[in-house]
Amino acid sequence: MNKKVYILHRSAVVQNGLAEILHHNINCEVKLFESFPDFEIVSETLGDKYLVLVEDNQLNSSSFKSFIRNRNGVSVIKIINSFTQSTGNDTIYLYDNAGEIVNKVNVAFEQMTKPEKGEDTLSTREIDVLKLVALGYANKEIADKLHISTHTVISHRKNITEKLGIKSVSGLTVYAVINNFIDTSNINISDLL
Amino acid sequence: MDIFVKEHKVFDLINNNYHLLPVINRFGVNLGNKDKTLNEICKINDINIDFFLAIVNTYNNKDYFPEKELKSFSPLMIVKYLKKTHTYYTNYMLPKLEKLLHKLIESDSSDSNQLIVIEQFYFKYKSELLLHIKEEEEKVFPLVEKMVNNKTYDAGFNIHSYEKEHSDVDSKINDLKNLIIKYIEPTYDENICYEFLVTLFRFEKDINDHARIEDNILIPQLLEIERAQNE
Repeated sequence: MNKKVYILHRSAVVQNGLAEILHHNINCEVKLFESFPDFEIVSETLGDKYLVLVEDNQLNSSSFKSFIRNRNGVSVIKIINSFTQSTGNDTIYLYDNAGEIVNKVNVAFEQMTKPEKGEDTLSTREIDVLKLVALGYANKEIADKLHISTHTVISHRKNITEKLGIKSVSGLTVYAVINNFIDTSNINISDLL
Repeated sequence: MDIFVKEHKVFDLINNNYHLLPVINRFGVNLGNKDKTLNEICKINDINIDFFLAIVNTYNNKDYFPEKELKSFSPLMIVKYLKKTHTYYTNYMLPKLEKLLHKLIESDSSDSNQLIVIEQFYFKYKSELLLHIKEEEEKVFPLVEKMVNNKTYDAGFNIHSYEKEHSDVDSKINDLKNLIIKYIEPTYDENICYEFLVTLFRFEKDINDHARIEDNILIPQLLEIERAQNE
């Protein structure tokens, strides 16, 4: 993945200083913006996975907050223009030394590239597949019912198992039952297991 | 981790790994041996010390492989040991798990059926495990006896088919843990639930170590016998 960092700060000195530090230490693409509106105009062209370093007064603006809300691939580090220092990884202080800044940016990238393992929210399609698995249908039958290829069914099943940490068909059936994905009022559950 | 040797004492074993308690019990070794060494205890109880050490070390240490000791005891000893383990599962572990699960369901203050479904899943797991045990007792162990006694045996079921077996049973026990820890609404008595989980973890560990004894001791011995007979 090509790492992208966008810096939003009113001060040209801060922008370029941060860019310089990052360029020297991290292999990444850096773009500089003075304010959020400048950034927002071009945001569609910037990809959907990146890190923004943003001055704290802009971070707290409602327009920035609503921009960031639905963008899961975007991570944020805030920049605080005061003479304090901290240990938090999500904040850069202007008086942080270069090593600290590099470290904070690296930590943010590490968290971004982690696969979303253990994230147990299934997509609607995955729930469709899970229901049919729970009801005992074979991959081929599931593919026909959902008008998708068997290959896609298998890949959904793999993702479901990875997300839930449940491997066996009976285990998946139990998950479907306790989450009310299937109506069990007319079925004997132990027959499904 | 250290390797146990014949100069160690029962306390060293158990203090190092208390999961070995039921293991030494399967050999008929009790507690209360004062300062006797493992060697002395094995002599008193008429146990092959090499076999005893091979089992406790394999059980205790995932990376241990009893290469030297393999030739100094008969596969029949392992079969006897494995049968005792099966008895421990069927007569003690499974009933204990069931009792706890039953208590857990009774403690549930909600009217949801989540734990009932969990119990049904458990019974499904149990029936598969029992089937697996039955297979071993009725097919594998008699095969071992025939091989050791140099008798002819049905080539249809051989050690190579046995090698691949245990797998799906293992994933169910893991699923059971996952479902309870992650997804069941905690409307039950927590202490009962923790006790159930701890027992389940202990059981899973024992089962895995049991499988390792089959894979690292029994199967290599049988392959060796097969190789010798084919020569």
